[in-house]
Formats: sequence, C-alpha cells, structure tokens
Amino acid sequence: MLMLAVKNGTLDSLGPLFERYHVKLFNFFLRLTSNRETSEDLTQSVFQRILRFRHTYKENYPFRAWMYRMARNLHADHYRKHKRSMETFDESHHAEDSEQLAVDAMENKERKQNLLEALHRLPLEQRELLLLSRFEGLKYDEISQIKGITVAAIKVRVHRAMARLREIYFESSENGGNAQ
Amino acid sequence: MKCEKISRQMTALWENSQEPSLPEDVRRHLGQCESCREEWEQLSVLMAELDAVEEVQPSTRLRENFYSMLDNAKAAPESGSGPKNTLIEPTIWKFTPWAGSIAAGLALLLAGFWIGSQQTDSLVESVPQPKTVAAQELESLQGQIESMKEMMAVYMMEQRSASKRIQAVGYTDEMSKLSPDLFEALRQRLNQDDNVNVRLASLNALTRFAHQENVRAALVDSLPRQIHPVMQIMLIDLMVGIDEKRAREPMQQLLNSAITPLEVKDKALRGLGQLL
Repeated sequence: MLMLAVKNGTLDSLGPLFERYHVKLFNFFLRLTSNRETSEDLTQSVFQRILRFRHTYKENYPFRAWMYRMARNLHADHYRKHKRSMETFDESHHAEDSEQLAVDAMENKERKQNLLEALHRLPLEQRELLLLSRFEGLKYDEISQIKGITVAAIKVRVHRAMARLREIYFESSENGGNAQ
Repeated sequence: MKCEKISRQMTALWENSQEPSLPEDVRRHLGQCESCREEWEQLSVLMAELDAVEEVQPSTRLRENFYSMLDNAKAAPESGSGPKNTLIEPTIWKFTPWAGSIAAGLALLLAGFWIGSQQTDSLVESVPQPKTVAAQELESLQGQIESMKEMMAVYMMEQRSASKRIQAVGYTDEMSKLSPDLFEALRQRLNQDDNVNVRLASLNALTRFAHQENVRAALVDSLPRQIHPVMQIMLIDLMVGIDEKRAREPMQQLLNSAITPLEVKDKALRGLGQLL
C-alpha cells in the first residue's frame, strides 16, 4: 500500500518503508560485505533505486521481494567492481574486518565469531540464501520471486547451504573452536 | 534414500520458525537413526546460534542521507534522471548563521575545558584532592556542552526543510536526558509538523523516554491528533507495548469514527483487547 502511494507520487510514504526496512537491509549488506560504510552506502542506494524506478513497481508484486531483488543486484554490481579484494577476504578467515565485525557485533564471544566465520566460508550464493531465509526472515516463495527460480529449487539450495554450514561450523569447533 | 528425505524435511521445518515441532514420521525415524538424530541436534544448535546473532545498528548518517535524498526528490519529483546518486554529508555547521555562533561557543567551551584540565593537572602535585575539582569541572562542562547541543537541536527543529528537522530530531538520540524545552519541541513536532516523516522521527525520539510520566501522557494525548494511518498504527503499537491503559479511550474513538481507515480500526480493536 505504501509503495503504491510512492508510485503514485506521494514520496513521503517512502519514509515509513525506510524506517521499517533500513536496519534489516543494512545488516543484510553488512553480513555480505563485512564493511559498515559500504553497507550504509548500499542501503542508501537501494532506496535511491526504489525512488528512481518507482514507476516500474507492480501492484501485485510483494514490496519486500522487490526491494531485496534490488539489494541483490546492487550487491552483485559492488561485488563485481571489488571482486579482487572480496576474494581475498573470503579466503582469509582472520581478516581484520571479519574480526572487527565479530568483536563489535558478537561481544567478543568466540562461539559467535566461529559462526560468522563459518558463514563467510560459504560460497556467496549460499551465504546470500541463508541471510535472506534466516536473518531477513523471508519465506521461500519470496526468495523464489527474488531469485527467479522455483520454491522447490530454493528448498534444495537452502538445504545444501545449511548442510555445508553445519559441516564447516562443527568441523571448526572440533578443531579447537569453542562452539558446542 | 529415507535419510536423505528426512534430512531435507528437517531443514524445511525451520522456514520462518524458531522452534519447529517434529512431525510424527520424522520423530519415529530419529528414534531409530543415530546419524539423523545427530544431524537434527546440530541443526537445532546452529539455528539457535543464527537466531542469536544481534542486529547491528547503522550510524545516524544513513537516516540523514535518506531524508535529504527524499527532500531532493520531492523538490524535483518528475525529473527524468531521478535523484542524484550522491551521498550528502551532514551539514550541521553550514546552514544557518546561528549555528556558526553555537559552533564557536562549543569550540570555546572545549578550549576552556582543555586549558582548565591542563591547569588542574599542574595543580595535582601541590593541592590535595585535585581530582574532585577536575571531576566537578568536567561534569559542569559536559553539562554545558549537552545543553548547547540541546539548544541547537531545538532551534534546528524550526528549520523549513523537513530533512533538517529530521536531522535535528536525530541529534536527540545522543542525549541522556529530556529537558522541558526539548520535550516541548519534540511534542510540537509530533503533533503539529506537516511532514509525516518528521512526526514519525519525533515519535521514535520520544519513545526512548516513554518511562517518564509526562512523555507517556503526551503520547496518549497525541493519538487523537494524528490523522495519518502510519502514525496512528505506530502509536497504538507503542501504547500496547508500554501497556498504557489511558490510550483505551482514544483507541475506542478511532474505532468508532467513520473516517478511520480499516487497517487502523483493526489495529485499535486488537490493541483494546491487549490493554484490558
């Protein structure tokens, strides 16, 4: 309803949408990039795109799925531009940013740091899928609309991603981590 | 094959659930299959860990930039290229002449504090109990800085630009106390601002002080004054959240009114049920 108002010219209605979603979006980007500044810029860019492309919003399309679709595209652009540095990050489980993020957000709890590190060891596609389904609380049919594949395929991929995460997480904890 | 199917089923149970219950057939299988049982236990631990990860709050810069962008877009809503893709830096020191004076005042205060602390340090060796003096000075100067910040926020809330007013409301996030002046300024923004986003920001700012009786009374009083459904819904949610029973009357009025939107009526009805 609010997005429809934005589309019809009541731009102020974007305010409540921003208030509702910006922290979620920021955290989505933060867990993908491990960089606060980049995540704030990407969050801002999502709302810029929503404004710019408001005329293309379709009434029957769920707003949240539309918004995360833009968020994914923006992150994909960002990832392409900064691939080299991000690959370095992905391969390094002890990168400074990763540690800083874990220290800030996880209140120095090594167990939670292990979890974040395990997440970062997943391939980007699997990490993104788990962020959408677990952290952002999206239903499989919403994710299926965002990614343009069937709900059945999403189920299979989430299952594989969870299996991989479980493997990494419990393997790392057995190798000296503090996880349960 | 059976285990693989059970395994997929177990993962799917966690879709939008924090404590899924196991269907009977899965439960029976787990009773007989140790590896699937271990998988379920690991999955449960992992999901609990994932759910325990706290959200990180972005800086206030994000909100300020968003509302600046929205203002720009409103100024030229139909321009083909849309809003510019630039992030606007906070302009706290630039936009009004009095802001410059306040900035200068703050700088003087800080300089005074620094000189004072240097002198106090040099007295440490000769005067007994010098730390008490320093602590008192520090406290007094901190108080003065806080009140200057507050004065600045109150003045800025009168700005013509809605984004500046939102920015001003945002500055109150850093304040530990709600002075009468600041309270009055926020109350006015909440009830009288012609921009719903400023009203929304003021509501968020006042929510932090909802444990104070004067703030609670002002919030109850604000409900019948709000005409935007978003404000009505947010206020009803808040009233229920802080268990403020005085809000029952304005909620009942909203319910009885012919012009109240349906979704607000629905919210009010549920709220009334919760505020018994």
